Amino acid sequence: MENEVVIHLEHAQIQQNENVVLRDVNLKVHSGEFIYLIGRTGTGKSSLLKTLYGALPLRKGKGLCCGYELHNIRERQIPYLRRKIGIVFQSFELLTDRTVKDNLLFVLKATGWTDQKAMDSRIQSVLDLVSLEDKSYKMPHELSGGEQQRVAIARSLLNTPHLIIADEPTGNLDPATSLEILNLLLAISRSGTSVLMASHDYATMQKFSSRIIVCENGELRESSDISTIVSEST
Amino acid sequence: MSKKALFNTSGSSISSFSTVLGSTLVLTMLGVLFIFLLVANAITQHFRSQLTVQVMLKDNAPEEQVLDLKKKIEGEDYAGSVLYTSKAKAAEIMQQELDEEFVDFLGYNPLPASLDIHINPEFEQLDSLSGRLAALEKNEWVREVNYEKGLLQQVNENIAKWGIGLLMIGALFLIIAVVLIVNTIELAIFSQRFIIKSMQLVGATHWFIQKPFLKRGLWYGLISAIFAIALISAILFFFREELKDVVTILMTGSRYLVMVGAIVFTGLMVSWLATAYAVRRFVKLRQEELY
Repeated sequence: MENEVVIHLEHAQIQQNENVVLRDVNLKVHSGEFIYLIGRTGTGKSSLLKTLYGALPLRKGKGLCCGYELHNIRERQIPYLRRKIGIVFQSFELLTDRTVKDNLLFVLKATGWTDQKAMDSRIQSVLDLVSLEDKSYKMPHELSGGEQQRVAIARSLLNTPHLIIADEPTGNLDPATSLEILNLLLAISRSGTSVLMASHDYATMQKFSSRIIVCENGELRESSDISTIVSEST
Repeated sequence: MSKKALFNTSGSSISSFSTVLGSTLVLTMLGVLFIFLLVANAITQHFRSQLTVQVMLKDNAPEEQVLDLKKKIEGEDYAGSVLYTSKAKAAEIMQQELDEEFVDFLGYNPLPASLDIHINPEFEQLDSLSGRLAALEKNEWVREVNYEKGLLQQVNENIAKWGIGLLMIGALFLIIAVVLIVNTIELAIFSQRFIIKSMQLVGATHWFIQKPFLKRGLWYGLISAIFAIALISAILFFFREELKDVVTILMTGSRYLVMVGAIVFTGLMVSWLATAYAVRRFVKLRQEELY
């Protein structure tokens, strides 16, 4: 799994409806990589991520994500692509009408799990991973922002994904909690799962250097130095 | 499905209530229309059963031929029962009615033998009856065929008029029912559109997302149907004096059960279709279209 290609985009054109957001995108991500995706608001970060998890169609160029050809994917295949990807949002996107455990249970049932013991055990192990083992009975609104994001991360880990897509996961969190979440995502990537994280949180990024991809002027480019980007942006 | 899930999912007890209330009112309307249809059908059948055709036979018709003809008519789909009255029997009946020995007085029996055909109330093509009776009149042993052409025509016209009218009202009610139920269910599902999107993002298939909504839709349909039946039954009970004839017709045979079955079936079917349509709409929406 170490050198497996999880994402491979070739001359891909990312677009929202008819508006082209990013042109000629070439990107290769291997398993276990941790990548920051940065850029100003409206430069196409979210659109790129949406294309990767099938919320936007890839109409031009080629794309491979977790074994699925994005340029050829059929609508009914999209749920199966998403089962190989864990998605984490700034706004958590938890099911607000049920407890933490039921949120996780729903994902397992929706993705074909049937053995209750196996489901309970999997839920317990992902909650342990995010240090929320004693919060399984809570409703989402009874948790802090950081805890809700950790539930979202636990949810994304349930099906042992090849890739975690995190769209500004620390955007709603205070600096200390942001650091906790970033630490968690780094630990996950070290265990072999690729993490692609869109973020504006340069301060936190400076503490943990990693591969950086920048969305700028309708293009995607690699950058090696977060300090230059920070100085350019200030 | 637990009581909580049914009535209080995502704080949607108000929309659940309005969905059930809306569906109940629509099903009650449909139930009243259905009663109307049942009563109209019973009245039509009553009129049809009153239709009698008298086939006057020639005096020289041998009884064997007449009985053959009777058998043949009994085999026709328009014939209910066929009664043979011989010349002698006809005279006997007439004498009883007149209380006078008119055969002795006249010196002969002027009454012909006859076959009285009671039209089968289930027979639908009344408009074709005139032609078929005209064909019967051509039989060599038949002198003439008598029936009330005016009554037959009137029954035909009324059936056509009422049939089209009721069909149109029924179709209109059904359309109103579907639109109202779709609207109330859409409103109920609208509040859960972000939950539906979250479900999609974790890899749930469309069917998996739709299933609980459809299940709930069926429950609402069933509950609404029960309420509608209770409401109609209460109206029939409290106004039993004013609606005496309707109640009598409805309680004859299995008509009441048919009405109950029709309301339950319509409730389940309309709720299922409306829920499937509404959920499908939200499942197909793109994220940016949710706002």
